[in-house]
Parts: sequence; C-alpha cells; structure tokens
Amino acid sequence: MAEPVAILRDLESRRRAAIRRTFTHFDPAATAAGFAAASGLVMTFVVMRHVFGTPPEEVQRLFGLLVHYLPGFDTEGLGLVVGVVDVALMGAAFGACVAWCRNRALRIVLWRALRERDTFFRRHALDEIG
Amino acid sequence: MRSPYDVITDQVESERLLEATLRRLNARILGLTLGVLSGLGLFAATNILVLRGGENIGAHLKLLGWYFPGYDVTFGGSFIGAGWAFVTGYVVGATISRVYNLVSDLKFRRADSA
Repeated sequence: MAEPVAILRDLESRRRAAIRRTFTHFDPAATAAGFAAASGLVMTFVVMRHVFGTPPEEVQRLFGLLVHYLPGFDTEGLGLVVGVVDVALMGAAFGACVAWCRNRALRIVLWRALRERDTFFRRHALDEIG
Repeated sequence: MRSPYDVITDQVESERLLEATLRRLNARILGLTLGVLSGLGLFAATNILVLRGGENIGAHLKLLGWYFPGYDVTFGGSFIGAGWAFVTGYVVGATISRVYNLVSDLKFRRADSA
C-alpha cells in the first residue's frame, strides 16, 4: 500500500490539475464533438422536414441556396446526407473555434488577475513594518 | 475509530467527485441558456418587424412557420415561435453538453488508466 504522504501529494497535484483544467481549459475536441452533434441534429431535422413533407416553393428555393455553402449538397437523394455531414463538420470547426477563443480569453483574464495580485503584494509588502 | 487510511480513502473519493463535477458541463443549464436566448431572439425579431409594420411583413421570417408549426409574423405568433425556439435551443444546448461530457469522460478515463 502506498505511503499516506505520497497519496496526499498525489491528491494535491490532481486537485491542482483539475482546477487548472477547469479554469484554463475548455476541451477543444469535446466542444467540437458537441457542436458537431448539435448542428448535425438540427440539419437532420430540417432535411427530414423536407423529405417527409411538401414545403412551400419559397422554402424550397431558399433551402436550395445552401448548395453555395455546402459542397456536395443537393436537395434530394444522397446530396441531403452530404449536407448533414457538411453541417456537422462546420459545427465541429465552429466548436473548436469557440473552445480556442474561450481558452485564450480565460488566459487573458487569469493574466490580469495575477498581475493585479502582484501589484497588490508590492504595494502592501512593507505595510506591517511601519 | 476510523483508521488514517479510511480517512484518506474518503478524501480521495471526494476529490474525484470534485474533479468530475468541475470538469463536466451542466446539460440543463446550457440548454436553458441557449433556449432562453433563442426564444427571446425570435420573439424580439418577430415583434420588431410587427412594430415596424408595412406591406408583407417578415416575408422571409414567416417561412419559419414551415419548421415551427403555428408560428407567424404576428404578436400572437411570436409567442408560439418563442416557445419552439426555446425547445430547439434547449435541445441544442443539452446535446452540446452531453456530447462534451461524453468525450471529456472518455479522454479523462483514458488518461487516468495510463
């Protein structure tokens, strides 16, 4: 059995790692997967509504305009499946960007907080002498 | 009296619980956030057009009625649209956080076992 001191040391390092991970890191892969699933789900709903219904002409026309943004997309057949995959991929890219931006923003916030802490310590370092 | 090992084991368990709680996204909170935002967004977008008035109000926005049954660019329709947008936003938010937690758990478990 491991020594209690070693266990506590391991515990402390795990706690620090967990806090660091939470407050400085948004997992980009997990965020990308989440956004991909959500956007794929929404696109699947839209596609299903078109396949199992007769949308108004204007809706069909606007839906067809997606061809300009989704490579391989078509308003019928396999093109619809490609459209869902395209949207999911775009969602993944967007999710990864969200995680990246959030992590950068958090880093700036933490940097400012540490700088303010240092300034505070410098200002009050000699307070107790007087 | 409990042995020091029992105390440490308890502490290890509570730390694991803390770690798991901090790492995960809350599906309900993210769902409610996105739901309320999209609901209010559609409500505002509809009513801005209704207040502005004119001929053929919201020619494009009213096409959402195909996806959200009952929705129309009117004051009453904006409530129905807000409800649908809330449901959609909630589902999207909940999906994002559930998949996030799933992938994050998988990665964490793999890292823990290594």
